Amino acid sequence: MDILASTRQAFALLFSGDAELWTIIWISLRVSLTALALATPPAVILGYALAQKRFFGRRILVVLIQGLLSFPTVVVGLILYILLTRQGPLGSWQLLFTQEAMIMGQAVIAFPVLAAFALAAVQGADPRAHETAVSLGASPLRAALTTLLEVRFAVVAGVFNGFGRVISEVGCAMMVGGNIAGVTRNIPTAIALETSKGDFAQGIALGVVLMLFALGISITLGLLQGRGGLK
Amino acid sequence: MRSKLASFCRIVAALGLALPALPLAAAEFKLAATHTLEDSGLLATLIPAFEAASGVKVRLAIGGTGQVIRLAANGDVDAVMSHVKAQEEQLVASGAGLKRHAVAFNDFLIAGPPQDPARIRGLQDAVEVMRRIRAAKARFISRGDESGTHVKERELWRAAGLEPRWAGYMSAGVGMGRVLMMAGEMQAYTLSDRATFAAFRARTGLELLAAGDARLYNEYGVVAVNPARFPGINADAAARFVSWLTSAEAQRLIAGFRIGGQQVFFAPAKAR
Amino acid sequence: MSFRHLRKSFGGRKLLDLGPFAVGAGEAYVITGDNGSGKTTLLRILAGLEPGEIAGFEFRGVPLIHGRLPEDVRHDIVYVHQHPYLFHSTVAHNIGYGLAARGIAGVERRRLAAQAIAWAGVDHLRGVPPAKLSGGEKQRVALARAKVLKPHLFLLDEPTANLDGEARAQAIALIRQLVQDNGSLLIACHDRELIELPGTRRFHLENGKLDEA
Repeated sequence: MDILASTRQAFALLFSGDAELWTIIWISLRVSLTALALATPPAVILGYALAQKRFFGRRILVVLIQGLLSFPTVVVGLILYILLTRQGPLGSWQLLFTQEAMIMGQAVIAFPVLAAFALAAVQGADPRAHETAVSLGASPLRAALTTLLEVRFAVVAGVFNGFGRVISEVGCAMMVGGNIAGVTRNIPTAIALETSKGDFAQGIALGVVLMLFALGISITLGLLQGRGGLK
Repeated sequence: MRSKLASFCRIVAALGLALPALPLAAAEFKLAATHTLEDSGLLATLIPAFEAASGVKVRLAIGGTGQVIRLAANGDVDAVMSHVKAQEEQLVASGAGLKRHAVAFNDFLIAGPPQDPARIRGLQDAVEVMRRIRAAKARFISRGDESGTHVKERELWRAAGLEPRWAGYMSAGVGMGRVLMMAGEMQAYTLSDRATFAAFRARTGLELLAAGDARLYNEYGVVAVNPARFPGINADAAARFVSWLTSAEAQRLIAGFRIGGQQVFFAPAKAR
Repeated sequence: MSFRHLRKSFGGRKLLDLGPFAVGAGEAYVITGDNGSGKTTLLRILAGLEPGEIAGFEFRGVPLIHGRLPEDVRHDIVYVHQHPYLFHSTVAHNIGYGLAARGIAGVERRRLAAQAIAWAGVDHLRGVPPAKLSGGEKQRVALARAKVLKPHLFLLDEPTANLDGEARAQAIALIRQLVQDNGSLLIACHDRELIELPGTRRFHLENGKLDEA
């Protein structure tokens, strides 16, 4: 069965430092990490605000975020495509089929995950934490940062979860990225391509990398849970 | 509550009894075909006609040439249609396929932005076209997926003695329709088969800039998978499909297929 | 600190209904009362941690809008929980927290924090993660954390309620010092020794009313 041969080839590719392979991995990491970096601050702020403040429309927002958690990524891709296409409202930006478009898509996909985790984290925080901060003279901003720091493990768990969701996402990446070699071809879109070419070695190699990422995320999340700060 | 349950049971029982009565004779026929056949819309015309004529239900799998050939080579489908003659004949030679039949032909063309920065409009020499695009360092999008189109494109680069590697050359691993859309978005050149180009022309805003070179000839073929090699194959349906496809009726449909009023597929009998 | 009246209801039931009350500078009051009488609630309302109906709320001569303590008041009234919460950092960071919030720079902050650590006798605990401290140790760190800010009013909620023996004695010693240093304190508790602390006046909270005992 040539699957075995392909698998052996796959590991050879990985360890030989095959330039094409590692470019794909690098693009995957660059896009996903940038997306997370962009999405995390506003998401955490939103999660904090939803947990601590009472304002009109709060419940709706919370329900919305939780609904968006499993929003189909292809639809995100579709909406983004419509916005970025030449005839679309943002067409003049010429962002379609660029890494920037992929970053935008992944940031949107990760946002609800990050916000939901931040919300849960702050809700699960010891109320005395915020009270102590305020009582000692912290401004609302400082008290907010302190509270978030106190539940940092839970918030970071959200980041890891968000990473897991975007690193292996293919629908949106394909649509707005176009799977262009060396530019917008990341791990999941490359796997899709290799499979359609009938060439499994690279696909398997990339699949192994993805599985390692997933494993790494699970292990880290498990460690974080043990460390405490999570309720 | 009880009567609802009772009527529910009755409905399920009725369905259960009815199911065997449904035509089992419509066993499934698994066909693999390349993107270009699907994107052009030809299959959407041929498949229903075949189903109506034979009573066989067709299960269609679309992919790049490499992938569909591999499906046939593994016996995962009953027959395959592609447009790389060499690979189809290889299937037969390896014993995975029975016999290759030509189905239709058309040609490839080079499409690009109306402004034509590389000045290739009207050229008949395909190799010269590639040279000029390279020289102008214009944007070019390649299928990059071992499809028939990609194979043809590589042949042309080889003939030109050029390595396609410059800032504007993009290798997108997606189907022909999508590549045309991308070329439209980015105002780039690309090599496409006539049918898909015609089908997507209005949406992309690209123009047919160069065609007519004999090297751009594009022939579609069909191969039924060998039941001796793969016993589970629906050989009967595959045989019926192949003979229907090469029959006068199917050929009429193929020749009559129009996109934007233009004929895009030609009967192989008229081939060189 | 003074107010004309203070009221708090929970679901129709009136918990607190207090008339004019004042804590002068340097005065230490111990407030006793049964569990559920509202001692904690009273302190929390004064700290701005819980809503309540207050009229004529004044602090150091400045009228305050309840629930919106201005910045310079927030660390001038420090509330210490019955089970104090220490941040998951270090003992020194906890004690220096309020100072940092006031914008006091590194060197000065460390100096003041070191002083407070010495005062509370928790120097040997510097390297211990705050989560691992015992109840008594946490209480002393919390008191140091409050003291270092030199607030004009301490609100201590049952400071010795969960302590006994050595730990309790140490906490009481610190509180005694706070009283002797002429700080203003409001202490809610049941502790006999605190109640009978020299320099304090005792009040009793019952049925929503506060009376001197």
